[in-house]
Amino acid sequence: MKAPTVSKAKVAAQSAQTSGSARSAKLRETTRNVLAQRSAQVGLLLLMFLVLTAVFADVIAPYSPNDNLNGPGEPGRRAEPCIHLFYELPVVSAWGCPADQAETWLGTDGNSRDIFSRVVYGARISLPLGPIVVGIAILIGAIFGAIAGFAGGWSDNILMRIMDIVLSFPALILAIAIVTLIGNGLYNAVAAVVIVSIPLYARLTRSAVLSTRENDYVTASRALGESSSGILRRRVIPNSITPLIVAGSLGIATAVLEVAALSFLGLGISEPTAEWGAMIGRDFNSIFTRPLLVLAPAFALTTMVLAFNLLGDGIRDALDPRLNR
Amino acid sequence: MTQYIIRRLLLSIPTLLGIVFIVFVIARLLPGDPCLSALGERATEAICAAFNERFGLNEPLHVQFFLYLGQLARGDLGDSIRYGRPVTEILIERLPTTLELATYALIFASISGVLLGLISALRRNSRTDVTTMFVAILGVSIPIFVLALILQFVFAVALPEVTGNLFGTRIGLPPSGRLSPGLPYETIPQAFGLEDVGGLPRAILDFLSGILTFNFLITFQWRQLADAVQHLILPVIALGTISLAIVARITRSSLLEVLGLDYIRTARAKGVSDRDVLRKHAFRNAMLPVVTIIGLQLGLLLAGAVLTETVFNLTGVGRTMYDSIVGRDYIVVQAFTLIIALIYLTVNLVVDISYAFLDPRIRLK
Repeated sequence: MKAPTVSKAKVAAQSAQTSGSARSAKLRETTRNVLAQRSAQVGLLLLMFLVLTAVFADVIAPYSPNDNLNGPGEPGRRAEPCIHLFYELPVVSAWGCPADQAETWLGTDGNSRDIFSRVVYGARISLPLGPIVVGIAILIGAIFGAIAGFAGGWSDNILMRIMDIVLSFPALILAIAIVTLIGNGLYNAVAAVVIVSIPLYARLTRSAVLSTRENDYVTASRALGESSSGILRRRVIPNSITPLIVAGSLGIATAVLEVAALSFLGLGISEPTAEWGAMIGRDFNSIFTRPLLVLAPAFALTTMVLAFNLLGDGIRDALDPRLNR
Repeated sequence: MTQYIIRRLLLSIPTLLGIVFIVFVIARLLPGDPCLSALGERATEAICAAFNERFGLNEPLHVQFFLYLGQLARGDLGDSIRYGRPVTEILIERLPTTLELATYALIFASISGVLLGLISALRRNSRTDVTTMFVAILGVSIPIFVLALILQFVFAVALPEVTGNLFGTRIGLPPSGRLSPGLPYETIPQAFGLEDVGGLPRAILDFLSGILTFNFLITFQWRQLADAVQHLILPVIALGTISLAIVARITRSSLLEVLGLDYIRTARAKGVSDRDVLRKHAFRNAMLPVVTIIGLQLGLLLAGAVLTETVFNLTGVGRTMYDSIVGRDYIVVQAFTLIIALIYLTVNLVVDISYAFLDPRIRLK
């Protein structure tokens, strides 16, 4: 009686070990595949640039984002850029100023704050939002989808009908309605975008679970007496995760755009925090008079979305086997 | 086919009820007192009581819901709290703006998107392909409001300045509004002497008049038409670009996938010319996912309309909805969300049905 038990444990340990090392090998291979994609390389480079900007914002930005530069020798409200180097040069002298004045690379906003510093510090707020939103949405969506797909029956029906209804509103409109309901603010804007993003991941998980559930190895685990939650956790979810990663990496850019749109409409983060969408929304009428006030955060925001999109494209091309042509 | 359509129609009924319910709940849960936000802080308790009585706000929630359902069934969307007018009136006034904008944006996105995707796929990995696809990914990465502002800056500020300096005439596009201020124009009832018409026909005529380009086209107001088109160009590009990029990418990948299939190789082996392979064999099949994605764009466009209308100062559905949310005019919020969801649902239905029409495998299943 004793021998088989030992050998069973041993086999189990061995298989765990091989599957563990196989998994890390697979991870390494996947990473290599992703990095082989040109779009992923460019995206990663842009993203690293933004992350470094956020981390070293203190060093890069000449002022703190909420400094009011109203003192003597300081630029004051809505000032043009003041760059010492340009003062003596011919064409660009409009942006130059004598060395005894405080330097501002992009000028100041309506509250005499340095635009460049605000854009740099804005990276700290704006950069993590997309990954956070998608992370939470995937987690909740995967739970809903797994329950619906694995349990089936009425719980499947109810959950998926709710997801259908959420999907039958244009995402931003629903997000606006939700923020109005729970109040303005950064966390609420994030929550609203999470809610409108959940159905996508729930549907994906559900269909992945439905297709893996029928596999022989799942039947085998069930025959071996593994519990439902064990099967779900150890067999079904690991095998359903690829479409989630692909959708999630592409979803970050969408989430960023939605959060930024809410901020732009004044429903997101409140003054005086420097966040790109809010900075654009607050001053968008200045596009005719002080374009830099709008174009600087706009450029930063677009770069960030572009980085996430490029990286997401790369990850999809590397992971989606249907595209291997 | 008929059976498929009927089944699909029946399936959308529970979704529709769910939408009505959610819209109702969201509108009732909006924080803030509608009475105070409509009548101002000085409204006394007596005035507010009369106000709540008039709008049925004293009834319990479930009674309000059934009252609301009854109202909807009669085609009554309620009276706006802030404007004190029926919502249908506001809708007739403002929906055309959004519809016009979204329709042109959709046309712009579909045609240029399919063309770009086609060129890209046919010249796969060429410089044209790489450039087009980079522009496409840039297109999906620019927030609508950022693109709108950049377009305003380039075409309404920078371009007039540059052309003014170079040629002495300032050439540019108008940055906001639907028509140049002060430009007189006739509505359809005015142009055809139908001003005495009332009721539903009048509402339809007013609605059609609101679609300015249509109005000017059928009443031969050419100067106004040119002016309206000039005002539309920038918002349409701003709103349509994301969809354009999405359509281009899907067209490219779908066409590449189809061109790699066996039956295309067979066709080529039979000696079918490249042109005919594309036209008769590949294109139609490759368009399936494109049709779906074009249909899905409508939600994006309606949501994007809120942003576009804000930047270009247009009083459409999107802008009104935003103003009403801020002003706690929940009757308008409720009605407009409902209308947007309805349009969205209808379009999805049409897409599903046209999809079945294009692909026999679906309707026969």
